[in-house]
Amino acid sequence: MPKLSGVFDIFENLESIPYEDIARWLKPAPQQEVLENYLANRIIYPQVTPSTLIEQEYDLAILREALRRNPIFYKINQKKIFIPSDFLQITPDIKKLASVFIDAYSPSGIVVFILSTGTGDKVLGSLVTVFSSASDTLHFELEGQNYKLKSGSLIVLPCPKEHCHVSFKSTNSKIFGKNELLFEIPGGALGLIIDGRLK
Amino acid sequence: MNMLVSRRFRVVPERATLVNRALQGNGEILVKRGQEVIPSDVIGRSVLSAGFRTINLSKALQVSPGEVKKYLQRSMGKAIYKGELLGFNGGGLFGSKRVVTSPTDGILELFNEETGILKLKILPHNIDLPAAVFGIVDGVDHVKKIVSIKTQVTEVYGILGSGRPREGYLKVLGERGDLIDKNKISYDLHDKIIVGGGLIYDSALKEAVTFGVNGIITGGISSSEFKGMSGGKIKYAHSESEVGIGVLVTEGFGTIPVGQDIFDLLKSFDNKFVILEGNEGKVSLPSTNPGSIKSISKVQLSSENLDFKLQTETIETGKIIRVVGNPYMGEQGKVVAIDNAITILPTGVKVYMITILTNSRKIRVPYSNVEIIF
Repeated sequence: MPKLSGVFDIFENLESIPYEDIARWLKPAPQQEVLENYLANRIIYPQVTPSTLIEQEYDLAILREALRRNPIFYKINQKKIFIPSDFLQITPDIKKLASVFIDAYSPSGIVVFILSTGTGDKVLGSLVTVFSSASDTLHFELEGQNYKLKSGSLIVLPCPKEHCHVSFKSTNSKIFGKNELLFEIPGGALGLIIDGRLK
Repeated sequence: MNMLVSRRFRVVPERATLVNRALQGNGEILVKRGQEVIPSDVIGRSVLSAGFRTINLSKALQVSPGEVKKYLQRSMGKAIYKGELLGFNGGGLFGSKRVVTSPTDGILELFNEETGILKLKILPHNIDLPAAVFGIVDGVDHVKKIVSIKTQVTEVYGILGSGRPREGYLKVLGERGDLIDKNKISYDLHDKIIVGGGLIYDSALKEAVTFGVNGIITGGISSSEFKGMSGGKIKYAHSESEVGIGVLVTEGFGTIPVGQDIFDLLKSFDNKFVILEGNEGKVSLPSTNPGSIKSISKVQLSSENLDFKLQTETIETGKIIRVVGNPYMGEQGKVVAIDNAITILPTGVKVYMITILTNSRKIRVPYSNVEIIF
């Protein structure tokens, strides 16, 4: 039987990622030698499951930088991000994984997250980016529920249905250049991610 | 549930293979195809007639370059023969004794008081090439001056390596987890293949190259050191890298003791002739049993390489494994139990755990964090 694979097997150039790039995602940043040796071991033993939260954070930081250098999972034309189900080996928390992809690809507009499995694709939810100004309030209505959010944050709202109706209103912040907007998004286990971080 | 894990060959015992012995300089091969040889047999003889050899006596004697002359045991311009005392530093009250013998027959030609380097003019002398192994001469190349000997070896496979094939007598420096710094590297290790411990420091590697150590076998190495040797590569490191010394890493990156399986075997080959092929990630330990000639005479060498690459296999109780994830990285033992129920790790990941009995304790790890070893 062939060699066992893992998440980090997908990427060809992990060893060339500088320490500083990975360390910037980690607080506190580990010593350079510690992180470099950890990464090197993940390259030669890609099948390993992270056993501690610290190792999981290291894996997610490496994954961010690996994705940034390999934008193969972000289909910009389709406005879709595909998350391979193998990545759940690092964390089963789909919100955490989605945030890794957002950090790596900095997608904008409305982007749909899809989980790719061996048996097919499954819609997880959507991301909408808001161009916010400081100290603004973002008003969202999602499937009849009202949400008042502060600009500058990234939050996830529940939207388990196949399609969800969203209403947006703000004074200074905009989606697609508009202060008020009604739109529909595909929903799922992930829901609706609102990226209102200041651009 | 079918739990697949990696299966890795670490030790392949008693394998018939060809060992190439090369003659230095001009000379003649003294054996014929089909001839049986034992390690002490001289299979070729050449005359080395010219050239120089430099020795960094300051480093070898652990004194400053300006002080070296005080410790020289032979005057400049005088002849010295291979193995004779060239320099001696008693070490005083707190230092360790340092002895430097001449690596060749030569004349003390020049000493640089700023660098501490001595230049030896090599005297014409015969070089005898010993067979070094029990075997049968399989081929003789009189042009390239190479003798191929069919012999029986035990092959030890590491995880990574660097360097062209090199040979030498094995020297185990200490315990399998020892940290090897430059103080553990001395001039008397030149031409040897040394077995370090859990980590070899950069300074020790440089010292080893300076002293002409042929190779180093270590459990762990820092990733920056390894990348420096392999042209920045880790994933596809098995290539043609060469930095003046052979290196074999048996476990991985960071401080990891040499695996018990490999260490015990290497210890039993201390002071014996071995061949290190860093770029192939292996060291071959020729059989020291004279009876092995009989065994290999019946064996036909296969032209195809056996597949010792990583494979997968279902984990079962009784299998011998090594751990490849933290916190028990490098530990070895036998699988004594496999959980039927899922465990949720602190990371939230759901896994099946296995229980491993090591030499000293029982440990539990996710099944994906082990490799079956042979």
